Amino acid sequence: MIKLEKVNLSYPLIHAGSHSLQLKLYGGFKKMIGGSLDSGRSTIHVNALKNINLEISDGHRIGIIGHNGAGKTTLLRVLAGIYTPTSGKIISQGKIDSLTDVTLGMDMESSGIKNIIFRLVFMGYTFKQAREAIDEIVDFSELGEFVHLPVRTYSTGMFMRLAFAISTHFMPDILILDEIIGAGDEGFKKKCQERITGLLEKSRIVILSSHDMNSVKQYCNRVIMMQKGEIIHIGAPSDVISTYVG
Amino acid sequence: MIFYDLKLSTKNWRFIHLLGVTNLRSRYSRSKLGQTWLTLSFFIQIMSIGTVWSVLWKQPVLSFMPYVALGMILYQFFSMIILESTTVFTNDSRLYMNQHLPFFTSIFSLIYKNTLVFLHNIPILILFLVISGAHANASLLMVYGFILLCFFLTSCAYVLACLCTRYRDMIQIINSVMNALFLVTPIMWNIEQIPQQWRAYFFMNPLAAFLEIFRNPLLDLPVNYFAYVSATSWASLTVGLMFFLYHRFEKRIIYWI
Repeated sequence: MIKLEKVNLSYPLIHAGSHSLQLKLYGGFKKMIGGSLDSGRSTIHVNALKNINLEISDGHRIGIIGHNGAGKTTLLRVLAGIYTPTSGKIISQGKIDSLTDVTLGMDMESSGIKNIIFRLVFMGYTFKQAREAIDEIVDFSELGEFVHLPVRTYSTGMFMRLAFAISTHFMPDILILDEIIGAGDEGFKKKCQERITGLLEKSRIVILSSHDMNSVKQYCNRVIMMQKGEIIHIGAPSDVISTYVG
Repeated sequence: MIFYDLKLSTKNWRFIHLLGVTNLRSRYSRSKLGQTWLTLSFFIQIMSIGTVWSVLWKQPVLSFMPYVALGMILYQFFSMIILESTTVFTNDSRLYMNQHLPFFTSIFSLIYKNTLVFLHNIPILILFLVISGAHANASLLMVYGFILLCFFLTSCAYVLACLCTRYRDMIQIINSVMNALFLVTPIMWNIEQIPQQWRAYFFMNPLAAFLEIFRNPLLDLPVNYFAYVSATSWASLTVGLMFFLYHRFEKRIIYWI
């Protein structure tokens, strides 16, 4: 279960100027001799999330829709515990698996086999669990003898196939996804879709942010529509999507 | 909270181990000798510097070389951790953007990686200890020094990593300071060459203090007790700063990377 209560999030937009110590010191010095700080120097804050109230129970498949910059990714990051709310409360129980970057932890210089271990350990599994998963992952990715070669020798498609096969191998508890992931040519894509459907159906909770209304309709049983950092609609997929599209 | 994060980071030891090792390996990937280059290049560096300086200072090579070798090995360990800490959060930013992790993860993997580098240099260290023929006299005080060192390096790296992520100019400042520190640390010269009344001031430099604490007993040289005073003060200062910065900024670092 995940619960957000009156969550607000604003963060500073760090641009070149505010990263500089010199400007900061110079500003302080000017203040000392009586000059005025020019207004442009204060950091700009982005109010990324405003008053978010949300309760996600077991079995929920939440879809998050909205235009670019509506706060979808920010909300995902708050749910994953990456961003801490500026105010408000967040209660979350369970292990969260973010599949927002399927190649995280992979090393181009190491072999496919080693990368299976790397990636799984980065996802929080033990070395033993990772080693036991190797055979199945190699089978699924259909890489054959290539798994013994360094990943840098792979084509982009092969690399993505491996990354996908590893990342979706274990069943997550709470799954966070930024767009439906997939990889490879037509035949492989079908396999991917089956696998991802399995994950989306069997995980305890799924939170999917997407621009693809068809997949939101297909996988989610509750949809949130966001606009300018606020939840403006929440309800059954067909209702919310028709408001969004219409 | 800070203790919870520290505990969580140690529970993530697999993560820290992989991060450190891949980081180290990537530097030597596709080279035949691989990590042996760490040992080799360092050995060559010590031999050349040691020879030139022993001629310059008119010191017998056999007694001067071990002094330089130990000094350089230890100093490199300290200074690399400090230098690399300045960019460690930005280098690992992809990790932090995709899952919740305490920022200590990067700090620990940085220290772990440099400990591995240090271990690669142990053969050189032993070689020169044998050459020097000095009777190493390790004492319990060195254990105390080691504990201080652990506290100092962890907290100093965290503090610098925080500040340098927020203020990118700090990276350049630290680089310059470290360049200057190399010259005022008794690595290629001996503190005995400084007039008695000035010596204590040199130990205000934390790296000189830690160097004295570890190198001198190993070579059977006297240890100036100012080194312990300085090391204790620096360790307490940086640990204090670490607590302060953690409570103020840990949750905000993510917006800076």
